[in-house]
Amino acid sequence: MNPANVIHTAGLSKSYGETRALHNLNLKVEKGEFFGFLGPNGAGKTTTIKLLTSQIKPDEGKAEILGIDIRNDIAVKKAVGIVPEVVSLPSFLTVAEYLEFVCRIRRIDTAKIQYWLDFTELSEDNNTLCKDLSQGMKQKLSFAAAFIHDPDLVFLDEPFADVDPLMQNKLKKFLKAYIEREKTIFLSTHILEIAEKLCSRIAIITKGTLIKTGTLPELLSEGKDLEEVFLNLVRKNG
Amino acid sequence: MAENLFTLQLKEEWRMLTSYFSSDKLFFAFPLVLLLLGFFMASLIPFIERAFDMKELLTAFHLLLGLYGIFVGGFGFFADEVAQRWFRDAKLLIHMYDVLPISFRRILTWFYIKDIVYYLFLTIFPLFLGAFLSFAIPFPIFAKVVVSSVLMFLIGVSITFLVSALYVRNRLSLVGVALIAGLMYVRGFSFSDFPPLQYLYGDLTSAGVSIVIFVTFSVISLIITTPVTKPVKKLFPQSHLFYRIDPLLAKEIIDVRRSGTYQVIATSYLFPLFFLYGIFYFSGRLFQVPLDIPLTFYAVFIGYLSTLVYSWLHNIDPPSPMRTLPVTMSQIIKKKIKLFLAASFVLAVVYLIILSYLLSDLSILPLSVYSMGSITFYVAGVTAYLCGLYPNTRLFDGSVLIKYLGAILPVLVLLSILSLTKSSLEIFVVSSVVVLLSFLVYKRLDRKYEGVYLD
Repeated sequence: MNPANVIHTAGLSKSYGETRALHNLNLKVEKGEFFGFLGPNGAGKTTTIKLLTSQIKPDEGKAEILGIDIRNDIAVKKAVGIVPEVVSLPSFLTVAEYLEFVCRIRRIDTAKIQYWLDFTELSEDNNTLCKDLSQGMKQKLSFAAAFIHDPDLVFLDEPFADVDPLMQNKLKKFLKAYIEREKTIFLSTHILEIAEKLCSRIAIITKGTLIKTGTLPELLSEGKDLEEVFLNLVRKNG
Repeated sequence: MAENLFTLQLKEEWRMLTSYFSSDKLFFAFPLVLLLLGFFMASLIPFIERAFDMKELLTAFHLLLGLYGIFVGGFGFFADEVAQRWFRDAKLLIHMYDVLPISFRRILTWFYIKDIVYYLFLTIFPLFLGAFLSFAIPFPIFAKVVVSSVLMFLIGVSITFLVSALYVRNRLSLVGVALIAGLMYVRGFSFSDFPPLQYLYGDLTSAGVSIVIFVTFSVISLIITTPVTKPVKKLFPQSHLFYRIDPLLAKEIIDVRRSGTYQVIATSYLFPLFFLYGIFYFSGRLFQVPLDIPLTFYAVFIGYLSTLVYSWLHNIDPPSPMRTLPVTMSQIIKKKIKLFLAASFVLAVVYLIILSYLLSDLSILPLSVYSMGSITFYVAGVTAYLCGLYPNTRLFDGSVLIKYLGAILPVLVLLSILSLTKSSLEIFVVSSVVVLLSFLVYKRLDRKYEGVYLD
């Protein structure tokens, strides 16, 4: 596989019983890209992220993440950062303890914990149990945990769903700066405005099948804005 | 709407319970076993009657059903976050009161009725159906026993419901409950004074009194049960533990401390030991020979009971937060086993020391501790091997349960027989073999869960 590709999949497929969640996904994402993965609800976005981050196993196909075979789940999880769609945190650890726990599991220095507590505005809640946090606070903590080891590739699954507009703005700026450091972001969302503002290249998936991949200008050449392009493509393939 | 709430919650319960089994048919194995148990118990009545007064037997049976009701009646906790932990990641209709235009009380009422229906039809009625099919009890007496014992169960349920509702509302109110119970005791109120038993022995109005008690306690409980929003806890950090020991193990320790599970673990041996003592008491009376049960026998039983502690450790928090971290399933399982062994071994030794004192059997204490330790180690290994991180649900799967029983029962039976025959050397040898077997199971854990992803 080309070393410039931080994500490379070939024929990746996954079904849940009779339901085909993902079919024959062939995808390449290059280093330094802000890659948007768009699709309606139930299109297969979260399944793709779970497969690429070794949270579930594919039925068929292959994939490499940063040159690591996704079958090597621990190596993949060590290398990447993940903000899952449904944030699940250890109920009985406090905010600060959770970040310390993550640092210890990842065997990294804990010096950055305070920076991330300040950045996500969770410093005042550092001794609050995770189970007592609001949904937005949980999402912010999950964001901090995904970036604390400064990974080269981060998977974000609807990361802005529960955070307030001020924090959204802060996170967007951070993500743009992150890309400038030659890092790669794989963003799954169905909020088209966010994708249009942030992403350099976009893929559209519906009903488990990839229907379009291209740079933002390439996609915009097919309609007046991303929303129109997206709606036309999804309807055409629906 | 009311009917809808009831039937929807019935369906929900059905789907949740059957999801624990590999097939829906296996779900009926449990009531079928109870039916057979009822059949055999009733068939033995003519034999048992030689040793026991029937009144004494019926009182003991009602006591058991009352205790059963007490153990399953903690509905007041549904207003507390503790109840939500029981269902882990699952969200039930009862949790939907905050987003649907329906009061918590109304949805809890139908949940309460639904649960009682389930307990009656899946546990109590199969037992009675088995007893009925044995034709060992004349029908008029049988019908009366059914009514009185169901009433006893319902009163047990409503008592715990009331106490749990009071506990969640205001813990100090339990002082009032204790005072009332104390006053009843001082006034000479005994178990046989409970209205269902009074009804059984001829006082027809006591059936009505029983229903009034059940309805009153239930209605009061439903009225005072409201969802509790607890203040956000600010806690003293425990993260120093992450640096002293393995972070996964440290997390498990913090979970046990902060969830209050250590209290449940400490007392989880009490009821089964009390039950075992009751069996020996009744068996002794039945065979009219005082049974001499050695400490080593209790050690085997206590070793097995440690599985309860292992199950409790898995009830605290779901493993889902670990999915995004570089952690394997076998790593988590092994940390849980380490904590389990440490916690259960200390507790079990304390119980054994107390029992050895009560039985005046101190000389056999070291062997009992060794035997108990071997069983604890073995049972935990087998449970972890077969059920992974989900012992509370996977054991309900028929195929897993058969393997589990196949691995555990021969060892338990052999050690129990040896302990009853007081064969110390043999107990030592078999326990040593069990320890070796345990190490083999532990070695296989890695292979079994290698490459298995967290669900």
